Amino acid sequence: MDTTIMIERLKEFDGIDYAVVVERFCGDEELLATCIEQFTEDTGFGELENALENKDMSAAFEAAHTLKGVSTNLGLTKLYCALCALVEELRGGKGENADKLFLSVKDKLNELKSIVFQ
Amino acid sequence: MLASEKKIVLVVDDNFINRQMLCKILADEYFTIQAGNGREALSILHEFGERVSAVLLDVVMPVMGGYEFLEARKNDPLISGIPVIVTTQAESDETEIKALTKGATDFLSKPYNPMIIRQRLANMIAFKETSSFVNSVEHDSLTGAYSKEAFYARTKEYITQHPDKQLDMVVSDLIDFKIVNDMFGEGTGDDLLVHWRKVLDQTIGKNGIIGRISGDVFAVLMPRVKNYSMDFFDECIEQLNDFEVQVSLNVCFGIYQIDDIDLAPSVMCDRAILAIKSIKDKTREVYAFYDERLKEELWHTQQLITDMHDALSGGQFKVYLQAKCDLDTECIIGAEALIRWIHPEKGFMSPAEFIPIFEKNGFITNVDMYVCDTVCALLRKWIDEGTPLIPISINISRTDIYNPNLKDDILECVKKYDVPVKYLHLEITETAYTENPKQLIDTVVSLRNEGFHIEMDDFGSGYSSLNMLSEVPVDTLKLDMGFLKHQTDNGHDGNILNFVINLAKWLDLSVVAEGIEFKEQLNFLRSLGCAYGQGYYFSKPIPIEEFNELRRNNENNEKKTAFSLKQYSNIKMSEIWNATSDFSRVFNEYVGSLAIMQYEKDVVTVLRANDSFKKLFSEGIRNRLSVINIMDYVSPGDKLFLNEHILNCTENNATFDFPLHCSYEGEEDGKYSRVLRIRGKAIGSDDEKIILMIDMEDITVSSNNEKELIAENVMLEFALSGKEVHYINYDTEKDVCTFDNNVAEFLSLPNSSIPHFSEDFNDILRLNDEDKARCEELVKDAREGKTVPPMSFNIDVGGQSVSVEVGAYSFKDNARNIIRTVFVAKKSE
Repeated sequence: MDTTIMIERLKEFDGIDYAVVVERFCGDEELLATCIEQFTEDTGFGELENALENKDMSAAFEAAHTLKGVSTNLGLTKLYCALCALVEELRGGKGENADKLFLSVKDKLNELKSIVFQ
Repeated sequence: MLASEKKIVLVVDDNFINRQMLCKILADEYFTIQAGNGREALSILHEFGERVSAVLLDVVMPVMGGYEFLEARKNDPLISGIPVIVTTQAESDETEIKALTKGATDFLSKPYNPMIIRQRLANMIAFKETSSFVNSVEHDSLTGAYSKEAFYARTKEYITQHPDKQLDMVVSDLIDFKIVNDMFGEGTGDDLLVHWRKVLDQTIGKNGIIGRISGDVFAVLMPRVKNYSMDFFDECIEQLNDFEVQVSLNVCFGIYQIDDIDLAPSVMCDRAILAIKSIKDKTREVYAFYDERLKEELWHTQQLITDMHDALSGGQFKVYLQAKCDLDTECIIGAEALIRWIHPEKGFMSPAEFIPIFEKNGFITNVDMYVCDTVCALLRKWIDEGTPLIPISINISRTDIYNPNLKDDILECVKKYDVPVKYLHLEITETAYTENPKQLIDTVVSLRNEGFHIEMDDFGSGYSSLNMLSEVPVDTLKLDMGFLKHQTDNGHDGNILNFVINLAKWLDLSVVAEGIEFKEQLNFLRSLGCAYGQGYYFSKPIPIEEFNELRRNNENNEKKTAFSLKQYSNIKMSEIWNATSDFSRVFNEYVGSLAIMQYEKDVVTVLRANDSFKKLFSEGIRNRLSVINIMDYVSPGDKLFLNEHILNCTENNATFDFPLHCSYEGEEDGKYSRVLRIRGKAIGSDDEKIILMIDMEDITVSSNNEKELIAENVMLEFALSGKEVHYINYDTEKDVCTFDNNVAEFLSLPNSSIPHFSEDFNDILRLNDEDKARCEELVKDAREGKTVPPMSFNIDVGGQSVSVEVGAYSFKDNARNIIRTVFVAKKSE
């Protein structure tokens, strides 16, 4: 996909704090767009899903935690918020509501994918 | 290779996107290298070494996470100097503390702020470069812990950056370090320090910053622990003892819970060290907290130490005397000299306040010698005035025991005033024995050889009392009535006391009971046969002048009646029969054997007896105790004696105390033979009857054993006294003597045995008539298993008369069966 189209779409997307994040990328909008594209395909989401299916809460926590870190760096506020809720739920090995919260994460991720990359 | 002007920064993160972002942020100023986990990072660092200016490190990573990386880096001198910035998600202080304590130089939070990242990195690299020349002293070269200055700097830095964090300063002191150094050499001592630092690293210092403050003192700055307990320290003490030396290693911890962050870190450490000092002498305490009280105590101690020399020369120390009394007569028979400090500002100071301090700094020796001098001067004064002398004891501190001049100093003092040595008693404490038994034994033996009378103070307060008695030759035991205070309800204490008093009698030691405050205690001690006492009941410690006055009054007193139960002399007869009276209560619960008896026309009957009294008798007699005539059981000789005593005691209120031999032979009881110590006095009488209070003690066993013990001791001494001692086995059943070649040669005999010994001994020994009779007696006693002390005989050896000493000794098993009998013989000297 052409990065210029992606950049245009990102600028209009309400799930990203675009101005701040561009600064973080030292004005390199192309890199930013590439990174976000890579992030949507991050294996971490798959690992998170598997871990939740296997009820391996600590693995789920680690995966969610890493994704949360990246999402905040990328200024993906909506996704970041959803991941925050999941991380807190998983902290300390608990996670009764983890599946529900993961659905919300998936939701935000799909929203990002559909708006920006399709 | 990487020929670049730019400085190299290693970016470690498992997430590719994060790495890319960081690299982008740093691209203009730095050359960046990437690693996906800690292990990759380590191998890159090993390749590039200190050419890498800094590391940006993520915490959570697969394969090897950030903490593990930091741990590995800390112990790797090649790369430990490279600064590391940890990137976190700023969600908990803990993560940051942990990162910093593991050696991270700084931390950054996500999301990244390019300006801040670049600025911090630049600062840090600059700092590292300018300070690298001092880096060598940053860490203690032996243990790798922070050096003192670096530790203080780190502490200050950390506290300033985290003013809201609750932190503790925990300082450890290896108590046995000097011992290890002395015994195993400094190399081992150094190894111990390295070991200990590692232990700290893995245990209590896990989340802390560790510094070596001095020698064996390490400090740890760590997050506040809410509840310290032994458990908290157990693990590290255990691991400390993994160190392979043949001594057990102890450590003390002092904790200062930082409540004033403006204090210099050195002061924080000092406070923790102060807490250590408060417990260093208490072997069982492992940790202590600093509090204001300690500071005051320290100040107070310093004050006392400043004042003490002037106090001694300025006469602020006074010698007080406390009377020791005969428990029967309440006459003063001696005194203990005690030191008092009357401070010009603080007033009368408790010895408990200053003696421990003086014991620590050694000043106690000066004080003890001052007391010694004062006491000798007093004895001299008494001699000059013609006042009868009584012994005065002075206290020999446990630290004096280590003073090699102790004996000479005391002797010099005694000579200076020319007083008889036997009037200066020396009190030593049991604790000295636990500390250094050999030193104590040597000191006591040498003092005793000079004629000093040794008193063992506080006997029974320690753990090794009985061991000690067999090893330390003392003359008197001083028992603290504290013994009695603990369990006054169940009577156990009485048994202990009774045991100790009997033990003392057995060992021929006199007993002084200390701390007698009440008449009841006095009576109780009397009833146990304790001879002497000391305590407020008689007199508190008083100045010498007052003591002299007390003695004058005491001498004017009529000698009081000697009887253990005289408190009952005023009791009304009705009380005796009233089961709920005070009298009855005491009577029933009394530990000794008590009975009220009635005497009427040569017949003695028991009116009342306590349980202990009943137990003196066999079951058959016990059941009929109220109907029998005691006189029927008394041996004929003692019968007259007892009669006489009973009649006598109504006339002048006298008491009696003698061994009564009782015997009885009956169907139910079998042969019954006992020696009872009987003590008694009259408590009431009319024209026909006398009511008596009787106290009895079964001394059968001890009177038998005593004789035997003495004989055995004599034999033992004899057997060990010279070189040429011979042992001749005597088979009492077969009546055969056997011996070794030396004996055979000495007696010019071809064989090493003599059959039919009891009949034929004189064929060989050719004794004169008198000796022959004695020898027959000896052989007879030996056959009966008696121990016979050595006696002299003149025997004929090859026509020459030779003087020999021979005794007999039988080895017996627990059931007193004879296992083997020997004659012990040697030539007279």
